Amino acid sequence: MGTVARWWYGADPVWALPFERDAKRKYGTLIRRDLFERTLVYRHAGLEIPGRSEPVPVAVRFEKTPSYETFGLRPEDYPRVFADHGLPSPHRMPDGSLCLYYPLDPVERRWIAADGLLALLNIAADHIFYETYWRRTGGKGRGRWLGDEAPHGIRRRVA
Amino acid sequence: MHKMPEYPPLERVVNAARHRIEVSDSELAEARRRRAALSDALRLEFVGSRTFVNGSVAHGDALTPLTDVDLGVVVPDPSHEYGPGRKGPRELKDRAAAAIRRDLKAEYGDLAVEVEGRKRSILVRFREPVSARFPDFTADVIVAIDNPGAAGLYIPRWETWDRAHPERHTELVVAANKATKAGFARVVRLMKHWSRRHDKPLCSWNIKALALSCIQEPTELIPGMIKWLEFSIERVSVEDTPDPARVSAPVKLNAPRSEVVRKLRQGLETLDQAVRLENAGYPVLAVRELAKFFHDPMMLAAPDPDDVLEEEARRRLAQRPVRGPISAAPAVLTGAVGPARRHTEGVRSWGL
Repeated sequence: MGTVARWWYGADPVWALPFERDAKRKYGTLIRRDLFERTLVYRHAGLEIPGRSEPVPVAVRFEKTPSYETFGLRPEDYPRVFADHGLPSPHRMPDGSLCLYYPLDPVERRWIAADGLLALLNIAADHIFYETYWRRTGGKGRGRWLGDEAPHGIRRRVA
Repeated sequence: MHKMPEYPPLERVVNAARHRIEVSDSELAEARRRRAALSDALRLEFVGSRTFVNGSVAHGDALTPLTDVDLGVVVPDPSHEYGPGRKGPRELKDRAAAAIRRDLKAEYGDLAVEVEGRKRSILVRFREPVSARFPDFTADVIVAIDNPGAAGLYIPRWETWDRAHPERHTELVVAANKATKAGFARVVRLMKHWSRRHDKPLCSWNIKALALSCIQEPTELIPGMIKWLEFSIERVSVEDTPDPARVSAPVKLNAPRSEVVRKLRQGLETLDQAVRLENAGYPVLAVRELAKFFHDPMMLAAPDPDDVLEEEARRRLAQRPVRGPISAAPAVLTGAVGPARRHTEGVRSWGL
C-alpha cells in the first residue's frame, strides 16, 4: 500500500512546529494535537461553516506509513481528514474521509504539508460547506456542488 | 431556495444589540440608591471625609444584569497616622465595615460585609439583587487616604498601601464620554461584552484605559470598535497599559500576552470581515460575522442558517474564477516546496 516513510515526520518538531504554527495562532486551544508511535492526529473542536448552526469538529490524521493508498504522494502530503461522519457526500473515500483534492493534480491545485495545517483546515471548511450545500439542494442525483471537482477514479500517468 | 428577509445595515444591528446589553434605568436607579446609602454611612463614620464614585455605573458603561457598584471614601488623616511606613488600612476598613452594617442592616437584613481576605476593597453583599437575572448585588468599597506628597490617593493593598488615582480615572472617563458624545461609553460597553464572551482576556478598567488613548472623538460603533482593537493590539503586543492617571502601576492582563493578542487579532479579523462582506453586498454574511464576534446569541443571534447558506453560495459563485483546463503535465508528486506557500485555491474535490 502506501509509501515507505523516510522518517517519522510527525514526531519531528522541525516539521511539526512550522506546520501547525498558523493554525495554532488562529485557533489557539480549539486545536488539540495527539502524537502516537505511528500516527499524529490534530483535532479541531469545531470549524464555523456557513449554513451550519453548530461548529463542525474536524480530525486530521497523519500516518508514518499510511495504511491507505497515497498515489505516490509523500505521507505528510496526503493525510486523512474526517468530519460529519456518516453524512452523504459525493466526495468521500470509502473510510468516510473527505476527498479534498485530486492527488495527481499539479501541486498548485492540491494541498501539500508545506502549506501548513491552517490551509488544510481552510480547504476542509470549504469542502464541508460544499457538502452542506449539496445535501441542502437535494443530495444524490440533484444536489449542486459549488466547488471544483475532479472526475472520480485515478488516471495513471502513461509513461 | 427560500425567501430571504431584509437584513439591516451592520451599524443598526450592532446598535440594537448594544441596547440589549445596556443596564436598565431601574437597575441603575436602584444601584445608585444603594450607593448613596453606603456613602451616607461612610461620611457619618468618618467626619470630614469625601466619597468618590468609580466603576461602570459611574463611568456610564454598565452592562445588564448589573451585579455591582463601586464607591470610595477618602478618610481625613491630618496627623498622618496612616500611610506607607505608618499604620495600615485594616483599622479604617473595619470601621467602615461596622458603619455599613450598622446603618444598612435595617433595610437589607441579610447584608454581609467582608473585610478578611480582601486585597483592596470591602465587599458588601446585599443579598438582594437589582436584576432578576442575577442572584445578588454587591458593592466594592475602597477606604482611602490622601497622598500628601503626590497626586492621587493611597488605597489598601492587603495590610499596606498602594498609590492610585481613582478620582482622576472617573474625571478622565466622564470627560471622554462628553467629548465623544457618549461614543466612548458605547464602544467600551461593547468591548467589555466582547471580552466577557471570550474568557475575559482584559479587565474592564484595561478596556477603558486603552479606550482613553484611542476613542477621543464621536464615533459610530463599528469604526470605534475597529479603532479600539487596532490600537489595543499595537499597545498590548508590547506593554501593559499605562495608568491613564500616571499614578498606579500599569494595568495587568488577565491571560498570557500572546493569548490576549491572539484574541484581539481574531476579533479584529472577524469585524473587518463583517465590514468587507457588507461593502461587497452580502448583508447576511456580514451579520453572521458580527454574531461570531460577540459570540452571544442572547445579545445578537446569528442569521438563519438557510439564509447564510444561500448567500454564501451566491458569494462563492460570484467570486469563482474561470479556470483553464488542468495542465497535461503530470503533477509534481514529490519534491521540496518552499516555505510559506500560497493559500491553496482551486483544489478539486475528488473520490475513488
